Formats: sequence, C-alpha cells, structure tokens
Amino acid sequence: MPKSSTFHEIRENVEIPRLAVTTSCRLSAMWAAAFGDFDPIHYDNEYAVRHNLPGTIVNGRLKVALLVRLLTSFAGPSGRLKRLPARHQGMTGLGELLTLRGVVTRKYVEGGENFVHLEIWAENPKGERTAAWLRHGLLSLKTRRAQGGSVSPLRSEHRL
Amino acid sequence: MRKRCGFEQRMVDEYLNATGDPDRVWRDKSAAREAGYCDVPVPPGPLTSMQMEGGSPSAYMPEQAHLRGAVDGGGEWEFYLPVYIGDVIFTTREFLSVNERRGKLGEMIINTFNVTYRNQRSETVAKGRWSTIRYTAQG
Repeated sequence: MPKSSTFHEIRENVEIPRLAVTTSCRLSAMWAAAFGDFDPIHYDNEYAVRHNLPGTIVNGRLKVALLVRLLTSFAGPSGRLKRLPARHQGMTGLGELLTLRGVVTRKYVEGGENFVHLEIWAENPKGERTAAWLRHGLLSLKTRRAQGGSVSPLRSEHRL
Repeated sequence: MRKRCGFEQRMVDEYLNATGDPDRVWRDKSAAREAGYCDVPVPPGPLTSMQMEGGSPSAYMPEQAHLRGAVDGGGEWEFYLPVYIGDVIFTTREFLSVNERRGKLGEMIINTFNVTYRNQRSETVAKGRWSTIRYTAQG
C-alpha cells in the first residue's frame, strides 16, 4: 500500500498514488455480500443484456467506494474525508481494469485545520474516465501525523 | 422512506475485503485511537452504499414499475461525524426531483434524492444527494 503523506509534503498539481483494480464477478459477489445489492446486472450476463446493457457491469457504488479508498489511503489514518461529489460518465464491464487516480488541486489552512482539494477519477485501460468528480473532493488532514512517505504516482494493485 | 443499518465489524470486513483496503485503522482499536478516533471507525464508503435499491422493484414508486432497469446515477456526500462499529445509522430519503430523458438506455427517468444519515443519538453524521436512473428493459 502506498504510504500516506503529511500535509506539509503535499504539493498542488501533483498526482497522488494510483490504485489499480481488476474487476471481476468475484468482486461483484463480495460487494453484494457486504451490502445486499444482488442486482443481477452485476453478475448475470444474460440478464444484463436483456436489460439493454452490453453485459455485466461494475456496481456504481463500488466504483465510488474504490475512489473513497484512494482518498482515505492518501489521507492516512488521521485524515478525514469531508466531501465527495461524484458523477458516473460511463459503465465499466466486469473484467475491465479500473485505475483510480487523483490530483491535488488546492491545499490551505482554515480555522487551524488543514484542507486538501483533489480532482479524482476512475479510468478504463483506454484512458477514458468512467467516473469523475465534477467538483473537488475535500480532505481534512492533520499535521500531527508524521509518517512520511511519497506523493509520487505509485501504483497499488488489487486483484480479485 | 427510512432505512436502518447497524454497522458490525463483519460487514465492514466484507467491505474492506471487496475494496482491498488493508488499513488497520478500520479494524484495530489501538490503531484507531492512535489516529484520533475514540473507537474503531467505519470507513466513509459504506455510508454511500446505504439506501440503494439493488434492482428491486420500485414498490415505493409504483408509477415507475414499468421501468425494470436501474443503474446508479452518482451523487454527492458530506461527512460530519465519524461512524463507529456498533453504531446504528438511520437514513431518511426524500425525493428531490424526477427528470425524464432519452439516452443510450432509451427512455430514462432520473430520480434524485436527499438523504440524511443519523446515528442512534440522532446526530447527523452525513448528508447525501444522489440519483438512480430507471429505464425500460425487457425484464
């Protein structure tokens, strides 16, 4: 897992560590087990096609959750996610590699609290965004965490 | 529409396994306290997945029952207070708007909701605004 960064180390216009996830039917099943969302469009190809879809697709909220993970990993344990705006721009078929990415757009201190704005998105292997935040996600980071680490674009693999 | 969800460690573990999140703060009390929490917190992700319809029939929207397909339309969330393992979260969902459109999926209705998330002490822990897209399908 990439190390989280301290507020002091974070630089604007720098990409945060990426997260790569290979989607699969197993991943869909695990998600369904956690949340009870057993909509067959996420695991039954024939059903999905009957529902006008190109095939089974990744649950939209799973993509949201993976982007949350991207942010909480970057923020570290003492960081807090404050705001998360999301919009789906395309569907992700099961089996596709999803790459979750983000760029710091602004950092500032307000009321003694450290804030970081980021633009984050999920993209397919063609580089097309399948989910994106139209407005910036907002993190609050405390300075007392001094774990160190790098904010260079590392890649974290997650296969299921 | 109200919904209740008790957050147990097992459910959070399933969520963490699905998202591949290895962070100890979501699992270990000492790691959580070191990070400034008073107990093991629930990551923000599970909150965003409460109140999903999961493709179930629109029992509460009978006028849309002919639209058998449903996909997530995205949303926006704000998080105010941590949620801890053992907390019970009550959500209240209110219709904000219903919009009709034609798109790649054919006739679509976009339902947008405001959702408030409160804990067992009636504290507002988060608020959300999100959409589901219903569309015609053979079923």
